[in-house]
Amino acid sequence: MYLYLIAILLFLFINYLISILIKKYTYEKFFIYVIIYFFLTNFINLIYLQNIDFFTFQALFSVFMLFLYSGLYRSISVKVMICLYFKKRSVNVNSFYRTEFKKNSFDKRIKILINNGFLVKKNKHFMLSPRGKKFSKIFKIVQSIYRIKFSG
Amino acid sequence: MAILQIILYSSIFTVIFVSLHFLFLYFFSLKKIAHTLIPFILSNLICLYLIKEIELNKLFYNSFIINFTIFFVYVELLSLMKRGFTLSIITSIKKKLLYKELIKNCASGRGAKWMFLSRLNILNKLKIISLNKNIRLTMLGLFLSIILIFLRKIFSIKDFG
Repeated sequence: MYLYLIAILLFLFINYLISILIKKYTYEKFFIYVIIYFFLTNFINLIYLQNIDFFTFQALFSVFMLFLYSGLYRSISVKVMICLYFKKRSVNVNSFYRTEFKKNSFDKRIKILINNGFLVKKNKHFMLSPRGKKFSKIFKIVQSIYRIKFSG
Repeated sequence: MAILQIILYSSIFTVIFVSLHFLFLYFFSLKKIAHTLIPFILSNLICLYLIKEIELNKLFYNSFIINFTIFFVYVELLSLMKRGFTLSIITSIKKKLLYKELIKNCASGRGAKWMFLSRLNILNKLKIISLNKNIRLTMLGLFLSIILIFLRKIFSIKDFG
């Protein structure tokens, strides 16, 4: 039991240290950290402890952490809830859409897509880059296999 | 050796699970949750039967946790494909678009506002917010927000992605 508790606390402590040491701690960096942590702990486990229960626990824990972090970092619903909490009053839907959603979420995603090379901005026009077109094509095929009509 | 056996069982589980999911998706009109949940239960039962046959049922508990992890990842990826905000921006661009057109074209022409309102409607259905012309957190929403802020502090998340 102590082993599991130590593993969780160590995970959070190292994560805290990394977030202080690295300037911009994004989801991609957290993802790399979780993968490295998973392989290192299981490497030690397989050599010294040989505990199968710990291996399965680590697998579930790592996946759970990745999705939890992703939700806390990126989810729009979470963002809405936290914004409303700090405003401490009721907010008009339209003004909330303009200020919080359009400016802080939509524009930010557009910027990320441009920085990652999926979108190109030319003379006020947005279009998909060759990388974006390729990704969009593959994604639409996967969507049609799973009978998903659109995402949003 | 045991870990390799677990990986093998979980690989068999994955193949059965994905095959059953497609079978249910194409041939049965059930609720969306049932499309994944029934194949998950069935494929675990098939795996349990296989493990029993070769007298290695001790490994089923560990294998089940790995299977559950796979199920969790699979469902999350499906949800991402369906509800992904960034993905909907990419898939809705077919030609050169101005910023205003981009906002209107999101989610297959439904628009960014529709996406925003669909999130609010879900939060309203779950009684996390009360929604009319204004939005505000309910008591449940306040409680959940405090937990979310606390979790963000634990993970040292300072910004939104």
